[in-house]
Amino acid sequence: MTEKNLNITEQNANAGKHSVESTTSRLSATDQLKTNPVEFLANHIVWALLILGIIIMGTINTAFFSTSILQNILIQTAVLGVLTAGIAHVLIVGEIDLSVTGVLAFSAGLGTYLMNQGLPWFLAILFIIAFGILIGFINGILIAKLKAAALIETLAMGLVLQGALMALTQGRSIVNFPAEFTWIGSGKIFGIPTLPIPFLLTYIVIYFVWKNTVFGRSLFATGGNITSAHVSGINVDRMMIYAFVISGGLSAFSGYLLAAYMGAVTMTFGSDLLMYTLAAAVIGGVSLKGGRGNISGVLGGVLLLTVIQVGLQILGISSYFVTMVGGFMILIAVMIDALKTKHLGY
Amino acid sequence: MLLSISGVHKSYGSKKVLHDVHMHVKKGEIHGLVGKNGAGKSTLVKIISGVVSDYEGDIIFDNVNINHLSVFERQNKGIYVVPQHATVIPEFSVAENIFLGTWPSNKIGKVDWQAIHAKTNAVMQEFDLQFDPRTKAKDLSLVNQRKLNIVRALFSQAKLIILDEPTTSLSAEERSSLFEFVIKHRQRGTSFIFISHYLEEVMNLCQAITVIRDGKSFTGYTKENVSVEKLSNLIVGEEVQLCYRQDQDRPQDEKFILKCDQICGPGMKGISLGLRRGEILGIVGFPGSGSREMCRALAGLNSIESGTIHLNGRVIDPPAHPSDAIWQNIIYVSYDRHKEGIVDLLTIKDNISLSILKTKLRKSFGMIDQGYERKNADRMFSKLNIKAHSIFESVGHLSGGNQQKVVISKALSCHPEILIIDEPTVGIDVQSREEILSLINELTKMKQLSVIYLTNDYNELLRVSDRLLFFSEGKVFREVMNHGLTTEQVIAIRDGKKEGVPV
Repeated sequence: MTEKNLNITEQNANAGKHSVESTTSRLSATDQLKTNPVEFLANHIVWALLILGIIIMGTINTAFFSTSILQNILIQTAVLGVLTAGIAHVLIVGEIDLSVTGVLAFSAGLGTYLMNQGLPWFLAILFIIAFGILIGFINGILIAKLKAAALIETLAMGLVLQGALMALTQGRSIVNFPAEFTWIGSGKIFGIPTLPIPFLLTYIVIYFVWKNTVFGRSLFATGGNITSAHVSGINVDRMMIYAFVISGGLSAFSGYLLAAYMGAVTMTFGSDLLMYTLAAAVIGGVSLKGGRGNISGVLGGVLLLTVIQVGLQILGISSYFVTMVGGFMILIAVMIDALKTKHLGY
Repeated sequence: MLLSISGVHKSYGSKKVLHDVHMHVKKGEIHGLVGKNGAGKSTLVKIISGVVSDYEGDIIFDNVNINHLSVFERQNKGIYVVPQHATVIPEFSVAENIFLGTWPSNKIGKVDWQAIHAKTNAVMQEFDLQFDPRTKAKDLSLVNQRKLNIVRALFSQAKLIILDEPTTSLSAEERSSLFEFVIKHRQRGTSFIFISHYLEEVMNLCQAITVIRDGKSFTGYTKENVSVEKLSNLIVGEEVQLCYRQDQDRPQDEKFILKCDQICGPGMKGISLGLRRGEILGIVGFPGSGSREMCRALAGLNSIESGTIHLNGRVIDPPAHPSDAIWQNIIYVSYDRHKEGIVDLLTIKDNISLSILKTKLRKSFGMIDQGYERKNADRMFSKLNIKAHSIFESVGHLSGGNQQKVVISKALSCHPEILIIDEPTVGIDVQSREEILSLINELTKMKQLSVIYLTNDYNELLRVSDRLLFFSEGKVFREVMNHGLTTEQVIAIRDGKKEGVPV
């Protein structure tokens, strides 16, 4: 505050100029690991957990490393994987879709029911997927255009469909599918089970769509900041409808895969998948707030959950505990999501 | 001395945010705190208020060392922060907001509304405010919401109130009314720390000024020993060249690129205007005068019910969606950069691309043209001098000025003919502001771009615009060429005064 003080401060003021270097090189994964290991770990935590899970399971029971069990894991992941790939689209635009298991169950139920009434098997498959797309479209219109709250709307839609399956089957199971229909679920190509093939193809396609297409970029922009995306000329309502349509279509497709694998559609078909699919997406790094996620993370998430499920079976843990463990999985997933948001500032 | 900060250091990881900061606030003083975005002002505020507690150095308040005190304890001592974005609860009444958390209640916990309203009326009278305690806070104007925040602080016996950019998005009148309010309370012995990017404001209001640059403090300035120019040089650390549009840069007898005729719609009651090629058209008008409504309507964000729009001599349909406007080469930069400008999770490159995803970047099968995207982003990055490590950095991590440069880059990427900018320089540092203004000046000079420019900063408006349109009650009521106009004249015309106004 004195004269002297003022002089010193002025000298300081005229000293350093700052400059920020502006290099335009993309950070590679290893660079990111070096510059910001915490962020790198947070973004790839699912793979660390997966490796940890496999090691733990393998140490407790070496049978875990057998080819048949690893194949079994891939087969069991297929349905959950396709389902989660669908719901991830909705989470990325910042909404939620609780109707996925309802769509999965009723479209498969209705399709196989019609097939047993004489609909050819390939038309039945197309019908199942088209029905899921239709439900997704209705969800999308109600949420994007009529501004219904996605949480309640999709919950209601899920209940309607789950109930509709119950009404359709009257408590009995739909069985006796033609071999062509069930081939995808139980067949083999060159000794490799067929079921993981559509699952992995789905992920490869989505990887390219998210990374390289206008659609993928618009999806993430819509979820990241819907108003900014709108002002930038992106049709955000349409993006939201697309997200629900994809979610509905892939849910129905996973319903077909599950029906083909099980060879039957039961009254409670797929109803336990809802919590696992949400948990897989969130553990895999898809933010519930929208705008953030990558498909390789989702893949890690579904693999992790299946490894744990299969592991629990192999370790001989009673099926009475499985629901509880599933609940804990979601808790852990949400904690990871929250901690990431808190410590990384987004 | 009410508050003495001495030798404060703070680092985040390896990054030094504050380095040996000193600052002294006297009782009953308004102390200006200025600096670029990212210079460390907000960290300093957080340290004073106790939000950040792991710092080195000493903070003495009221002759007591408060280093170990929490946010809450510091509030009890009398340190209050009024944040940049109003923190009143919109659905609560004025009274509820003032008594927030300390509602008087009877034994069984029932809130005593009569007491609250009576006390609020007394408080209102004491602080010369005329609103009904039952009014919901969301129905108050922005300036009154800020006053309400200050009243809440004063009501809790605050001795030092930190005002974080309190004048952002306020009109000139609202500003002076806020200043009167602050000055009155300073005379009653309350001290203020006043943070602002508007140096004229700081010079007028503050008894002492501290500059923060790159985490270092330069303190001890007063109105008498420093000028606005010197302050801005101190803030930037080098000479800032203010951008002035030269007479030869102005369009001469160019054709109208855009003509609007009797545009009606929500808030617009028959707006007619013309924009010449290469012109910067300044827009003056209070909120609700129809000026912002018109800007947004031209961009497809507000609806147009009647009227015709001519673009390049042809009649076009009123845009129903921003993508329609972009298709016609009209693009809008919003006044709210966080809500309507950036997508903070995406990288700089991805943000810049948003406006051209469906046009320039689209290849067959909906694929993105990665090569062009990269080239365009690199070009914008260096043209606007965006300060970041690379175009792959998330926009959320950038300072306000750089975020705004990204938004401008996005707008310019689609090579618009007409750029509508709405308060493009709010809350950004002096250097970024001048860089943006001079780029716009350059582009219009080459007749590539015509600009509609809406701002409340008349000083800035007069430096670059060619012609001013004055809006009121949903119409254009005056048009004035900008030949040496002064801000006083602009205010006089806007307020409909007759004297002192050029014909």
